[in-house]
Amino acid sequence: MESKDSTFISIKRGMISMICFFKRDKFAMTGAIIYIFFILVAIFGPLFAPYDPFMMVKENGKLMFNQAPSVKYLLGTTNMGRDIFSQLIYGARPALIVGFTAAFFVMVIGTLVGLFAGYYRGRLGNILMRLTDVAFGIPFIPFVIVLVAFLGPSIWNIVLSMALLLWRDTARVIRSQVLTVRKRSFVEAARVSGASDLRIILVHITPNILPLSFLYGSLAMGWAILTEAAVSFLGFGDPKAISWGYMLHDAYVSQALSRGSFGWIIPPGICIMLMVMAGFYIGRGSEEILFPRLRKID
Amino acid sequence: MAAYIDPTFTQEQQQILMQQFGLDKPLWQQYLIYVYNLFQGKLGDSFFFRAPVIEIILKVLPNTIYLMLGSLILAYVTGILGGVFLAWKRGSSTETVGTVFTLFTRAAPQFWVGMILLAVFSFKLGWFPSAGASPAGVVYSSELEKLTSFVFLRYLFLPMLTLAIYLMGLPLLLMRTNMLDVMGEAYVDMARMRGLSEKRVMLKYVARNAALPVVTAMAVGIGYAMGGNVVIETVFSWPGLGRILVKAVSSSDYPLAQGAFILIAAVMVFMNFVADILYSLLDPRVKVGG
Amino acid sequence: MSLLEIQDFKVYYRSFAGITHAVDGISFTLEAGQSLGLVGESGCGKTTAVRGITRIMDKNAFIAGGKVIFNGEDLIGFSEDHMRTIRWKDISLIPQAAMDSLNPVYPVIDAFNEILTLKGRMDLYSAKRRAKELFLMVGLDPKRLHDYPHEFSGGMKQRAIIALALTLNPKLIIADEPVTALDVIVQNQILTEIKRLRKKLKVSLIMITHDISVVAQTCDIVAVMYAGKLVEKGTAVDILKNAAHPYTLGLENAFPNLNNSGKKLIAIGGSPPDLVDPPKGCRFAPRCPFRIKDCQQREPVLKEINSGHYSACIRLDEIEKIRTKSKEAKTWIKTVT
Repeated sequence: MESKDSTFISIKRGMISMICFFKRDKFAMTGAIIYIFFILVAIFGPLFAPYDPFMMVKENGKLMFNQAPSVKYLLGTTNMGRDIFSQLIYGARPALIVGFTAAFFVMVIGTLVGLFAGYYRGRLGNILMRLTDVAFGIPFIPFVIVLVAFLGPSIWNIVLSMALLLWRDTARVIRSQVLTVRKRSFVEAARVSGASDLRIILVHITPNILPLSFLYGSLAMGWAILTEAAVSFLGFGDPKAISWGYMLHDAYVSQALSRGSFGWIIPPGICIMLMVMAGFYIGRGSEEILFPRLRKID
Repeated sequence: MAAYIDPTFTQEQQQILMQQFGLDKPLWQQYLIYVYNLFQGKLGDSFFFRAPVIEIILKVLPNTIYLMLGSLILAYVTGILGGVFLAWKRGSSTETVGTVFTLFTRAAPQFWVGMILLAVFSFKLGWFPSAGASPAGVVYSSELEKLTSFVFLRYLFLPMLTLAIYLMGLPLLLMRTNMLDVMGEAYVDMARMRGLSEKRVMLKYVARNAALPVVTAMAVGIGYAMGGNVVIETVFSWPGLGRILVKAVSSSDYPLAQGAFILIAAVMVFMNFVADILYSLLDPRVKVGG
Repeated sequence: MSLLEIQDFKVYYRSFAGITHAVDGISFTLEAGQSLGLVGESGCGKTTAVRGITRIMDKNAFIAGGKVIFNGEDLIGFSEDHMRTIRWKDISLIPQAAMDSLNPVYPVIDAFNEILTLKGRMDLYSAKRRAKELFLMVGLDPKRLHDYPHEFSGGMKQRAIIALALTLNPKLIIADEPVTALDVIVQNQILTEIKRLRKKLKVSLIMITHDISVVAQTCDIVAVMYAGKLVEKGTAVDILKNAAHPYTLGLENAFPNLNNSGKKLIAIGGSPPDLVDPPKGCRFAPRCPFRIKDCQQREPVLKEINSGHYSACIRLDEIEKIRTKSKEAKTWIKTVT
């Protein structure tokens, strides 16, 4: 029972220091604000959306397709007469679902793999390492496309396909970190005093790698959203959940580019960009995130 | 498969066709045959194009390579120069603006950037063509002629720029951080102590050492590039491996999809290998094979 | 005309806490061919002083006053371009961290070629020849010139750095703790090497160290520095045999002497003062076992005892007594305030 307590305390300590970190770092604050904003849009937005996103709007019996932005249709309408602004609002939901779910899986799988690969250096460690290497050898978007085409275009299939590979960066970095932490004297001390492996992992090592876990989790949010957008754009997205990527797919295939319908093209991309940036910002400010600390930790 | 076997064939004819393709054998056997053929370089035939897969993918491979290499080079050269520039302007507002802008390039979906570039520079302004790699009916007498022809480059420009914009972020920020790290090293200090010019110190001592990890990062960058290829080739209708993959998957053309996928993976692995070699050549502290 | 004459040299740092008076008015003279040992604890300002001389300083450091007269000209007035021509040609440096002093991605010979072709106006062939010469001079195998820095051992790297410092036949070499990072045996080798080269090439030397026994081997004159000020100056013999300042005496106690291996080591208690707001009067007074009330009232000045031997202690008239008492361990223990 004692080990459970100290784990809890260590994790709690970690969480508190995280919250302090948010308040301190301007970038993280901005990211958090953006996220909160989109969460609110996802939850309450549909109440304020002027139209149903799937509804093909008719005025006086005429289909209002490809309307330019106006007071009635803030961003104009699609080639099927759907209000773009409403679609934009509804698009927050799939984005957040994809972002958080994928991030969660990536964090869990990546951390576990990295943790065990780094701690158990023998056969288990090697197998996990090889597995990670294989994961790195598979091109990401092509894989997701193939899998989604096979499983069917639903949002959950997209998340699943991403989760199958996206953990690889996290695993590698966590493993490096575990290798470093292992060498520190308090781990040696615990080992010498007869602590079990599991206890060492939970109580001593985990709290030291959790921050890195969260960092990569927040990065993964961004990557997941971008990937979902790309997959939807290519036509493998979920037509029932109009994600921003799907909106762009619609725009592209209906020749919005040549018509210069910037009201359709630009806003979804900006929303994606904002959410991804928020994920980056939360990931410890812009400086450290965008290049792999692989070399440094190695 | 459904695309290939016309359902209007009679039951008998369908049977014969299935036999021809070996589709009547159990799945695992089919797979074994496939792997066997794979090692012999035979990837089967495409359902859609009714031609050997290997021919199709090898035909489009060069286009993807050109796009990828062009973008990588452009991205890394600008990235490294940009990183040196931002490190030089440390602490100024230029640096903050530059950093935020770089983040934008990493956060924005590549295909969206491509779409905007297309909409503005191709459709609106008409400076660049909007699809494909060459105008219809054009024939080049040799590969080299194609590469150096102005027409081809015009087609290549927008997709290459789009991919480069995305790839540029990593080397830029990495280079900048490395520059700042290296500037604090003892050998930089000593170089100044020897009375060498600031320009020489910056280039030969700082930049040269700071660039090493960037080259390694290129291995990671290649992974991103291959994913990006798929999407960008679709936006610009660039006839490359990525676009073939998307088409094949959309039309359930399994052999072609598999073939394209394998080739993409192979190219990626090869490029990583090249990056490793490059790194060991540049850093005398690393021995090959390490 | 002396080679180098420092007059009331001041180098300060701007920091969060205020202005750190790292070097607060030091003066000494160095003749051509002479060697000066600059001795003092870590952080007393020795390195800052010599970096001020060559004007390679941290961004927040600045020269606050004084003169640095080298070959008759005041370096302080020189432009950065002018200083660049002087560096290595007239004044060179053997740094503290030889380990990382060379560009790791080029072979060692590149450092020589670079300097010789750019500043020595030699062609590549002559440069290579000179590099070989220099390596032989410091006792290194010229074949190793084509190796990379990380392939050299500690002692070898130090020799290579010394060779590099000699490349353009400078008039003055500054050696910043050149042997601190080496083990005792290699230390001795390097010091002997330095002595030999000095005799042969007649180059002036400023050797920075915190180990007073090192200066015994290699220096003609010694300047003892504490908290940014010089507390004693004189010939090496003067300082080592007839030390005339409590701090110098304390330093001598603190370092082992191979000739007198039974000697007990006595440390000086306490730690150096805060240089942002230095104490009034003698800066060593808080740690000095011989302090009297006046020590912390008056600013001590260097007074000449014998020809060339100066000390900044106000109790100079009692120096014999002080010397005897300082050899006892108990004198030093009760001083911690």
